Amino acid sequence: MVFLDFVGVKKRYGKKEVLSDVTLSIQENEIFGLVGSSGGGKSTLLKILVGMASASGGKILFRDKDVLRRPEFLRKNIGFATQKNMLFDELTLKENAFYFGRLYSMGRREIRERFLELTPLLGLSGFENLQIKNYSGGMVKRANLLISLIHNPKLLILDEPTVGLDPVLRDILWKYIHNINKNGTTILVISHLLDEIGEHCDRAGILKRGKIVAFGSIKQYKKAYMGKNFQEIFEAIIKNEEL
Amino acid sequence: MKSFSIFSKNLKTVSRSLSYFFVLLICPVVLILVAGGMLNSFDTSHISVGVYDIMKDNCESYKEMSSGTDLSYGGNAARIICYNTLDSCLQAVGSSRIGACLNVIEHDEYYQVDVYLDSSRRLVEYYSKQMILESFLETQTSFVDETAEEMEERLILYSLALVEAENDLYATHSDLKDQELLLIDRRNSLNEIRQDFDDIYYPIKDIEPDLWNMRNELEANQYIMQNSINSFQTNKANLESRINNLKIFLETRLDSGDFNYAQNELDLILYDINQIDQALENINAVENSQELIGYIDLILSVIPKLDNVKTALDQTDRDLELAIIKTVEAQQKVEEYIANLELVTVDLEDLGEKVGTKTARLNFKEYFSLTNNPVLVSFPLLVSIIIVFTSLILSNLFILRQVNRPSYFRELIAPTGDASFLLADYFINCFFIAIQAVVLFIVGVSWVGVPVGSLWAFVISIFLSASLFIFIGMTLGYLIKSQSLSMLIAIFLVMLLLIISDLLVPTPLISPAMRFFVELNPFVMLSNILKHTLVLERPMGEVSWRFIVLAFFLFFSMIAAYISKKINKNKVRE
Repeated sequence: MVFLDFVGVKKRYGKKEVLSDVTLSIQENEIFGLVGSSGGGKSTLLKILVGMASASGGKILFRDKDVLRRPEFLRKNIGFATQKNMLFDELTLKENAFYFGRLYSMGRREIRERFLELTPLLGLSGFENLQIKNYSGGMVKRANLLISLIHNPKLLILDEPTVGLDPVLRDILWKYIHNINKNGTTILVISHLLDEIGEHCDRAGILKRGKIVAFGSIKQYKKAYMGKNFQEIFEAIIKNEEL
Repeated sequence: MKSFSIFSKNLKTVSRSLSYFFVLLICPVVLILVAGGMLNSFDTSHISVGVYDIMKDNCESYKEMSSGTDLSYGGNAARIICYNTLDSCLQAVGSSRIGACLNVIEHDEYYQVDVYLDSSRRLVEYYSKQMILESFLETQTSFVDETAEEMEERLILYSLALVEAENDLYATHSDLKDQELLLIDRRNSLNEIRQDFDDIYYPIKDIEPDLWNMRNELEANQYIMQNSINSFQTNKANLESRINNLKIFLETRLDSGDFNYAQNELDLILYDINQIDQALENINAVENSQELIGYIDLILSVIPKLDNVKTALDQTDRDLELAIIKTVEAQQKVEEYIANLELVTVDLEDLGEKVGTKTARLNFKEYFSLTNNPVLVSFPLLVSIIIVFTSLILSNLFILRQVNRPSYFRELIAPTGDASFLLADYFINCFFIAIQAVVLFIVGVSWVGVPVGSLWAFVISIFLSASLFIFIGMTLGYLIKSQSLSMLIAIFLVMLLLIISDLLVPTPLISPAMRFFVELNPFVMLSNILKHTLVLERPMGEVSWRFIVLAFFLFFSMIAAYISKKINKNKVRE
């Protein structure tokens, strides 16, 4: 059973087609990277996935259920973290966790248990009662991750998770992302930092002008492009497509 | 030059943003137009004067009097509204529907007119008093005199008309009496005729059977006589034949002397027989019973006609009797009318004397005895401004902060309904407004003199109006994502609400059409409810319609907020 399957997803804004026949599948427990040129349709695809935009055609199957018809099913099973701080700065991490946990209809006990499970996993132990506005940039990113995971989603969507972080903090964050993945959460990463994708993702898809132009495991990419790094591979694919 | 470049840049950015252009250019124009409309509508002639008069007819007459230009100030007529109770009239003063309430009290020698003015609105009080003093008082006083004269004249006319009517009724009564006497006379004459008639009728009626018998006997006798004569004449003819035969026989048997003798004797016998026949004929001729029968028949044919005459006479007699009875009854009624008319005439004369002598005395009174506590009078307005401003701006700000945060996106993708967010946002705003309201009430009770008993009215009115403005603020926040623009529009809305109230122009001085909109302004409703309950200490029931209208508005604002939340969500999605 495919974990998440995009089947011929289309999106039009008037006459302009932003996504045309996007088809790709994400396996359970993998880290999948979605990259693409600017205006390639990554954000639109993401919006459709989280139910914030409607598709003009196609299907998105989550565990064989069409989530375009039943968006509430996917909403309960996805976590979403962007490069922006999507938390309430005036609240502490714990308060944020309890607030968003309640939005997902979780009980207080359930939230507490999940919170206690996630804080050490993301290295936030000891900062639970500190207001978010007092967090550092890296801590905010991790806090964002924690809140995205509070309702124990099966799929975590990360939109440019390491933007604005220095290389050391990036590595630390990716360490935590791997920890999450090891705990059984499938991760979909959207990033323009292609080295990170090549280094940390199991598989990746390249989106260009609303179409998937390449799709496979990182190993397959490297094998096909004879040991080049993912940045070079991406550039080669994009140029090749343009040619 | 740098300033010009900055100015040019600012102009371009503003003019190319239609929303800003609308708020910065159109909103002030709208405010100026509305304010201009309100100010233009200012006219002292719009002041309505309420009249309570226990003699309701007088109030109606004031109303009729004021329909012209008599009750005027500055040449314009004021509106008179009659009230059934003094309480409702005073209540209308309290709620600014009228500028003054006149309570007309009738004394034996004069009318006392208590003029109640709304002392809580000094401007209205001033204009109302001015109008009452300079116009109503003077004009009305002379008007009352003129009216009294007019009424007196009319009463005299009515009295004269009544006297004429009374005289006519007397004449009618006299005519009826004459008619009665005439009818009685006619009936007596008829009785005499009937007596004479009966003298003839009954004897004739009595002999009618005898006449019939006589007639029958005469007919029978005539028949027998005719038969006897006929039989005699037959026998006579036989006898003559036999005598002639005998003569022939004797001529042959007897000698001529004897024969002549016998013939002479026989001729004598024949002669005698003819004489008898002649005598019988004469008797028959003398006894002509046929003619007698004709006479009897004539008499008998008259009798049925006499019967008819008798029946007609009897009916005429009865009709005359009935006519006499009716005439007597009509006379009695006319006598009653005359008696009543005499009473009415006396009453009218008394009333005429009263109207001719009574005068009106005006007595100015303040409806509220609050002149020593102007803060209490201003307190409802102050509370209303605070509540309207804070609830609208606070809720707008709250929503703006919310929808402009990145966390809003996280909230939107969470499996939580819009209604939950809407209600939670509403309740948090309510909570802050409630704190504010509690502080205001405590301040009001402690320092301003607000009665503690008005707590419920205060709570309900604040709750309804604050909720309404919270939802309006939320709606603006959801619909207009730009913080500055949304805030500008919210402030514009508050200004509009303040302009369409009696802050700029007192409500009683504006036109009825404008007053209608002012009355429906939630800010004015809140202010009036608070004034009514806190300052006037009137029961909530008297302003219940305002609560209902506020609740009605609240319902629609809630729906609007919900829809705007949906619209906002769709905007974020796209």
